Amino acid sequence: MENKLLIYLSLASSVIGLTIIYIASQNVELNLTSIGMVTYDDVGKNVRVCGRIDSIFTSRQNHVFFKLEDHSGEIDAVVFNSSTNKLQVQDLKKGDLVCVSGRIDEYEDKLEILPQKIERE
Amino acid sequence: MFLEILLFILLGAFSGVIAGLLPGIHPNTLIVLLFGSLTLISGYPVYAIVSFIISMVVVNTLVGFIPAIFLGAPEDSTALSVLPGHRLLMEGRGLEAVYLSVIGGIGVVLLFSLSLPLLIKVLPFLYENIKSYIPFLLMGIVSVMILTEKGIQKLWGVVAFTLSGILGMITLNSYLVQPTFVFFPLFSGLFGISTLLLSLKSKTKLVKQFENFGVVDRSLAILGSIKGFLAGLIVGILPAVGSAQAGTLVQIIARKEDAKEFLVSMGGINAANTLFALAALYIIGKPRSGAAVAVDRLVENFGFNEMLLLVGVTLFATGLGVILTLNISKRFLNILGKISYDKISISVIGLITILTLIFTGFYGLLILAVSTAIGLIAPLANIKRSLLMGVLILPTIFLYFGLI
Repeated sequence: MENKLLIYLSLASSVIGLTIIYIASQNVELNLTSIGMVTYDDVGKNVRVCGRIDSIFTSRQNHVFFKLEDHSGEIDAVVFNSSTNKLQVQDLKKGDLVCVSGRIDEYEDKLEILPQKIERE
Repeated sequence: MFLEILLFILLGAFSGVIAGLLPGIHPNTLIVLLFGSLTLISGYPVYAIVSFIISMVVVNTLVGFIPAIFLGAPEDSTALSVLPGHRLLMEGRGLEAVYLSVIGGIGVVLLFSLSLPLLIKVLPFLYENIKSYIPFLLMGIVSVMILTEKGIQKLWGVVAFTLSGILGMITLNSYLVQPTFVFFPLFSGLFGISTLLLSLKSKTKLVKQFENFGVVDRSLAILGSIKGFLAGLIVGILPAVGSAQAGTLVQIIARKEDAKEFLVSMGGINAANTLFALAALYIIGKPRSGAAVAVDRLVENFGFNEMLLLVGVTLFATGLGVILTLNISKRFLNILGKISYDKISISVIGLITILTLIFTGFYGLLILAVSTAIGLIAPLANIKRSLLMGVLILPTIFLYFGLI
């Protein structure tokens, strides 16, 4: 097969493939996990948890910290100032029911979630 | 204590060999598994466990050059070594390619040990002053790489960089594949399978491999190590900059078409990555690698003595890793020489596909297919393969500008 044909085939496959991956990435949702089921094994993994905001505050550097709780436990969530606008966390308040998708991290021996998506219920 | 540390270094080296030889098993995966089995490690001294982790990472980075160069199955840190390594392999100098990578590793370890007192003074200054320029530095590197292509190939350079960048932006920020495993299909497709497919197309035959390749040029070893050391310095202290981005930087400053010097530098960058990440943990208090995060979690007060101990562990593990890598390379090549390279290529493609399916499921396979298609563009258009590092560089630039 000619190199020229191959390169155009590769280009076409790349563009079509990227489109499919983009569409899939917009529609894939993580399975819901109970907060109590999140363990140190999940550090570095993406999870989705839902619950009620138990407390929330904004630091002087504009990072937003909130505690999320459900029937099984609680977990801290940290939204860094670079993401506060994108995630629209300014409207969040104590008592709100939300679902958070994000990466599990560990900070000072405690598990926390770094939200990439916050849905209001 | 000493004997326990020694024992754990040896165990770490063994795990590093396994992780290095098996495509898709990144040391970070093993670290996560290790922490997952907390009961397994809770009874042992912290420094023994930390020594295990450092030894595993160091040996893994050295041994990892074997599958990258001989089979075209790289990790993110060895991806850029595939092409120059493969070129030497096809000239019968596969062993020399591994040897050069190993030289870079030793060179950087020595440079690091000698410059440690100076680094302690200089690193905080560098950290504060370089970080805000990183996106501009990366954009400059990419521009130079594209502009140095000839004629229409400039356009293909833009296409390859943009497509791989978009792929990185989508996959690294989605829930399609767990973050721990996402690099496997990405890099196997961009650099591994695409290379193997073209080998199959050109009916590549593995030529007889030279066991003796003469003396390596001293200036090549020194220059390559210095470049690896400087690039590793950037990797070690800055967030979101990894071996791959530093390798791209080295490719710009390396002598044109000098595959040998580039391999030395890549070996150096990987060793520097581990060392500088430990130094950064002590000097600026921030973990900059999977291993450094693990050390940070395990050691409560990471001071000068702790850093010194782990630098010692790194030195010892490097020596051990070099011996293991060179020995395994010879055996590996002996086995490769007895099988047809087409069969090996097909088997490796099959193995990568199966492992992708196991680790990352259907979406991982989709990512593997698309990254292979994008990976084919660079060699077919005869442009620099490192432009495919857009997969990490574009998301890094966006991250620094706060756009993702």
